[in-house]
Amino acid sequence: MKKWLILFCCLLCTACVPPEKILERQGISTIIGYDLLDKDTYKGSISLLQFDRKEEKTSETISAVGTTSKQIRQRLEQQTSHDITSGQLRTILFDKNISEMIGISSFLDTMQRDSSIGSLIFLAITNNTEEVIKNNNYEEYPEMGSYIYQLLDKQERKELLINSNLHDFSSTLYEIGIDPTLPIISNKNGAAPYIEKVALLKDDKMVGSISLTKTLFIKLFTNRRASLGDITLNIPLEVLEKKGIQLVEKSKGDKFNITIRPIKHRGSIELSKEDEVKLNATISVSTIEVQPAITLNNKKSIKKLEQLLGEELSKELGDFLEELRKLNTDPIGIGRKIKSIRKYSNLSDKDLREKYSSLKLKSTIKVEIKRTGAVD
Amino acid sequence: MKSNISFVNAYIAFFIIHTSQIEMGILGVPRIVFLEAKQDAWISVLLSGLFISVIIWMIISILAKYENCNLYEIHENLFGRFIGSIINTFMVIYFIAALYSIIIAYVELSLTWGYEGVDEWVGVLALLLVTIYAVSGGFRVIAGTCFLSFLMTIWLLFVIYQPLESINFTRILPVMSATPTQLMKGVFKTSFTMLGFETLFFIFPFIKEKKKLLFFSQLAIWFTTLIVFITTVISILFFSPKELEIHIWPVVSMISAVHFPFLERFEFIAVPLWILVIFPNLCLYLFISSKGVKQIFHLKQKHGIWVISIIIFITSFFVTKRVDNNLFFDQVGHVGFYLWFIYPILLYFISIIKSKIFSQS
Repeated sequence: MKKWLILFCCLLCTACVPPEKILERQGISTIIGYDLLDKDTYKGSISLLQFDRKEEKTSETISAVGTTSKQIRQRLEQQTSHDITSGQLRTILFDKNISEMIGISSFLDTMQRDSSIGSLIFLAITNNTEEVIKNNNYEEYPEMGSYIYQLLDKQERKELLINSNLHDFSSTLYEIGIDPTLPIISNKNGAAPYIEKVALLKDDKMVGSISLTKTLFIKLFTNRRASLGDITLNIPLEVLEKKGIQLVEKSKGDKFNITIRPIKHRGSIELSKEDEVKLNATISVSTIEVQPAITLNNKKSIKKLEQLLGEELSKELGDFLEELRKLNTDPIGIGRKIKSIRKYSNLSDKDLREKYSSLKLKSTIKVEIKRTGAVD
Repeated sequence: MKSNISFVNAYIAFFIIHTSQIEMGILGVPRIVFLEAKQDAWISVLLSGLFISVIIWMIISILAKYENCNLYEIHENLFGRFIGSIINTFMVIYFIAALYSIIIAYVELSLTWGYEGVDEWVGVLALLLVTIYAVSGGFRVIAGTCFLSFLMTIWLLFVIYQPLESINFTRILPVMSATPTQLMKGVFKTSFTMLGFETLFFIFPFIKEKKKLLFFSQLAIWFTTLIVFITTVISILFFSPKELEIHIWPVVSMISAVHFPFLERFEFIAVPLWILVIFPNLCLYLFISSKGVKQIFHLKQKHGIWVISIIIFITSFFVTKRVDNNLFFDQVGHVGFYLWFIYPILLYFISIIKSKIFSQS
């Protein structure tokens, strides 16, 4: 009896596999883009990896029109003999019209429902997604999806981008008191797509954009592990003289240019009074380029330079915060911080936004020069 | 009592109780408790750990009064053969329902993560056959299964290291904003997940050193509480509130953010691996319910196993939809709560009263 049972188990349990998937027959989609055509109808374009050796092309792009993303997918299936799978999907693009008028959250539903889509895929905004996907000017990658994924991944890891994968996006989108950001990819004829700006969203709609360097101020307060990217400051020489910092060589222009590389940073948001929020941050940096040269070998001059850099950055942060408030968007998460205080924990999204626009914001950034490179 | 009973050491009780507590529930518990107690869900988890700890103490003191009896025998002893049998029948039905709820929950999960389109009964049949095979090996095989399952799956705890990178501490603030009623509702919901310690009632006769049992069973339930606590806290920190409310299996969705250089989608490993986590539960529940059938109808245990398996297999044609399942889990959970959180307290006092009456006469 027992032997039969074992035998039966073997037969049954080993037969329980999902339908086979043959690599050559798979159309592995690596990127998908949605363009708004009309109200409620979208055009979806995907790029498929080819594995068939006989074909010369390494990828194929197709597009279809539909009302839901899964309907688009169904119609895409009509155009190819391959099985379209989304297990290797790395990037989802939205065009500006969707992100400005419709909002992205309606597409999030399917991504969370579909278990074959992981939560580490990137989201990005671009002018016309079909053109980006059909663009043939990518570097050595086999197709556009891999190129854009590498582009975004590299930028996020070591440069100026804020985390923008599906998990980060949806968790900031659904959280009360913080707004998400997404990279904007630009596409020009005859060149590979590149990251141009970062879009600011209010809820799930794009309301404005900032340059990549400004993301520093967001990351400073939201992610302690993020790389901030190098900071370049151009300070008029008069300001430098006022501070009493001596130039070693004669300057060629009328600006003092300095690039610093952050090593560590720590930012805190504090509600100090009823309606005053203090944003304090400390960045320890190493100077990697100074033009024209100044002396950095004594404590006094370093201290002066630290003060100067701190003031400049604080000023920029202050301007940046005002810019955000004008758009009534809060990517830094000041609202979230307020909500975490017992007194305000019942505030709704609307109340928080009202409070956010009436807050007094005080920002100070302290710079600490830790290293000066191989020379001082 | 029978003389050919197969004993195991007391420390094995740790593995048995712990593995029977950890099952499908832990994948979804952060959400369920969060729905009740919001960001204070972790307090509810700790409170329910405390509650179970007290109940474990009561169970042990009941069992100590009736040496070498399991709960079925205690019932017959306390209430007589007829009423005892009615209560026992009810318990057997509960265990069959609990067994089915675990099987269908796992089948549902695996159908969502990769096996879409397979009929439910195929999965149920496969799981049942393996379970029947293990249970017909006797209690020592089941104890071994628990031990191995623990060793083979405990490393999954370390997988949550990677989600730790994107957590946000402000999400748990402000602490203690839930009202006591919300907290108690949270405790109530957590208890569904923590069920499984009732196996203690039935494994007691098999334990060699009965004095050490209290220590090891307390250790087991606190270890379980710790694990549930960790997953709850990390889920709260990882997801934004609205997200946590919509994910059916927040833990699986959370480990979908885990990727290794050699393996991109870890959850597709974790889901099949979960079969090892639920396997001891299946074995224990089938074992206990078949033991009950034997006690009530004086059937051979082997026949009991087959009868129960057939019942479960047939059920798998009817209760399969997500909504039905949810209702079913809720009902089993409710009954389980009254049966193993409230009833042992009652039983404790009944047994005290009864022993007082007997000692007087």
